[in-house]
Amino acid sequence: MTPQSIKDNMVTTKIQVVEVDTEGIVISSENNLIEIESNKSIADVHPFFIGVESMLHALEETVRFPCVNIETKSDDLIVDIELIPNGSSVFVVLFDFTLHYKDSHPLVQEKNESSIQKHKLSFERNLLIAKEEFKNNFLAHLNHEIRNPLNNLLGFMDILGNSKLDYDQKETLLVMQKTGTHLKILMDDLLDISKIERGITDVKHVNFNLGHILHNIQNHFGIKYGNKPIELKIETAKEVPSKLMGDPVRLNQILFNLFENAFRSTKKGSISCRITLDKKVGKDKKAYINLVISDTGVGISKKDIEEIFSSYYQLELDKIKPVGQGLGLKIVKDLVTLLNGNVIVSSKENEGTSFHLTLPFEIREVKPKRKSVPKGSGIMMSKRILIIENEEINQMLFMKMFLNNQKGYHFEIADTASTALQFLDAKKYDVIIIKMTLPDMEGLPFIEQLRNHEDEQIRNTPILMASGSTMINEQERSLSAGANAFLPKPYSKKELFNMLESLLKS
Amino acid sequence: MAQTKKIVILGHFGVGKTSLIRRYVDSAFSEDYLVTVGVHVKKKEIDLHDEKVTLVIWDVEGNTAIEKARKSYLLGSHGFLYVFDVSRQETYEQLAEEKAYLAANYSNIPFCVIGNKKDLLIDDAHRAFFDSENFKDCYFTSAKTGEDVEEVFLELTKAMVR
Repeated sequence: MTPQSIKDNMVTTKIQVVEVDTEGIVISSENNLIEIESNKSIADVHPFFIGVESMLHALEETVRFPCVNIETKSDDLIVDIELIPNGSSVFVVLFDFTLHYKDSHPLVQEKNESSIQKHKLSFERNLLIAKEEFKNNFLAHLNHEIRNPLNNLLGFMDILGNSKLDYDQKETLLVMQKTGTHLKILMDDLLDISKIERGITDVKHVNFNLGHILHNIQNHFGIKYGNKPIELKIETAKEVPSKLMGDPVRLNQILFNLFENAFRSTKKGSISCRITLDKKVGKDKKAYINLVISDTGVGISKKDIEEIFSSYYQLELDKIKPVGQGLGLKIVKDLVTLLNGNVIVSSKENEGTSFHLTLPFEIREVKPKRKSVPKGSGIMMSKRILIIENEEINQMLFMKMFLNNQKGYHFEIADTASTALQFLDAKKYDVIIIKMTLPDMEGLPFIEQLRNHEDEQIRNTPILMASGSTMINEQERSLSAGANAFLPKPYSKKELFNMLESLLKS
Repeated sequence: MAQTKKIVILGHFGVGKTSLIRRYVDSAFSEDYLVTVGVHVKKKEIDLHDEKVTLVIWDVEGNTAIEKARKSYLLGSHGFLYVFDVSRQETYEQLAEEKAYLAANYSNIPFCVIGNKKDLLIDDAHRAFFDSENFKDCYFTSAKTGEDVEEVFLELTKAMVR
């Protein structure tokens, strides 16, 4: 064996040269790969050659067809085929790469299958994200729709409460008001979830007193569940600083949800909250505070414990009573994360559950108080308020709220933006109350119109936007359009009047 | 004399090009996905208006874009079938670009666009999606059930013979 003989052997076993005329008739052929008869059309050999037959007479340069599968009677070959023009004839050269291509087949198969799988997974992921987004938007909009009638319901109940009622009527109304307020809390919870997941909840950084928050909780739950045989203990370790900075509203929400959860799952025994200092960081500027809320309730099974922080999950507490909402713990988890804290849960079935919270707050330096001079109430001046409202029920609610008010508010109602403009031209008003959608135009462009009004008096009149929408971006849009304040529905008469007062002062 | 027409089937891998040809030429179907490497060429004779037409069908390996296909495979074509998979978005995302590519580079060669795996279109929203303007010239086939496979080859043949 010589290198040349090996080479020669390769050429004879792997390459076949066929000469054809420009009509495709075989002039001569080696028959080492495929049996090809002379004087017959090459198109009869395999359908591949039918396709190339028509190219032969106009062939000017070599054309190469890689990786052509040729099935013959005896074999399946994968060959590269070259057509080489040679004056009045054409050389058809077949290179046998069957082994080479067959070896690469599993690799291509795997590559294609994994690419298909990858796209499928990413599609499914996108679908889930879209569904989640749809859910959140749906919740936010549903919330908005429900807030408007709820506002009317609560408002009228408030007014009814101030009228002459006998004992039974008062009791009935109290139940209705409680139910309405519960509904409002549920709507707020729902909104919190969708807002948190939309990433638009802002964290406040304000002064607060931890002791006051805990005291409020003790009072609230003491009254609410006072008739249950449950002892409520809140113990704060001495070293825990009380004067802090952070977001007291979120902290309150977290604690309310956890206590509510504890009371709901406990029939008797005790619920306790122990507050200790985990550590101080940065020259005692930051305090990590541990809060452990424990109950002697039904507990959570091992199976359920991993699920309790997910959306809408609710434990089956059918032995006690229907829970009615499964949102609380999801909110707790989201809020704790928002505040850069941590929450874990430990539980034993039929023994009780403990939630261990760690939350960071800034420690506030206490400044000596300055003595303040009490402000005089002065002489009460009557104030004129223009309400732009087209819906009859809402108009009625305003009328009832402002009727015989002690604040000296006079009000007028315009049912469209154009009527409001006529009123404003005729009289001076101290505040304008507006809503998002008016019959003749949208609220925001109308605010802008007022802010650009030629009359300076109108231009500077405070505007209060009262809306069923509590979305932060809608509040921001109202304020940037020129509204001075935003009052989300449902609001009580007190909240409305407080808001008016602060607008009139400024 | 019988006319001979070369058809090249284009489209992403796994959309069912080989299955469409197997269904059309051999009346067979298999669920298994076996990747095509290079090109397989098959032939089928049909009668069109009392005339015999020999279709030479080039089943080329799938590519994410026609531009990536081996150019020599497309030489001497009389018609193209561009196939996508209705159940895989990535196979029809670039449909407009692919159609524009064919129109620009092979302006005289007729082509049909096929949404294959029609049998997987089971919900109404999915079906409605393909009723939209973007897919108005498309044929929808199922190599699995054979639905509309013959029809699309016939339509393309008519366009090639015209």
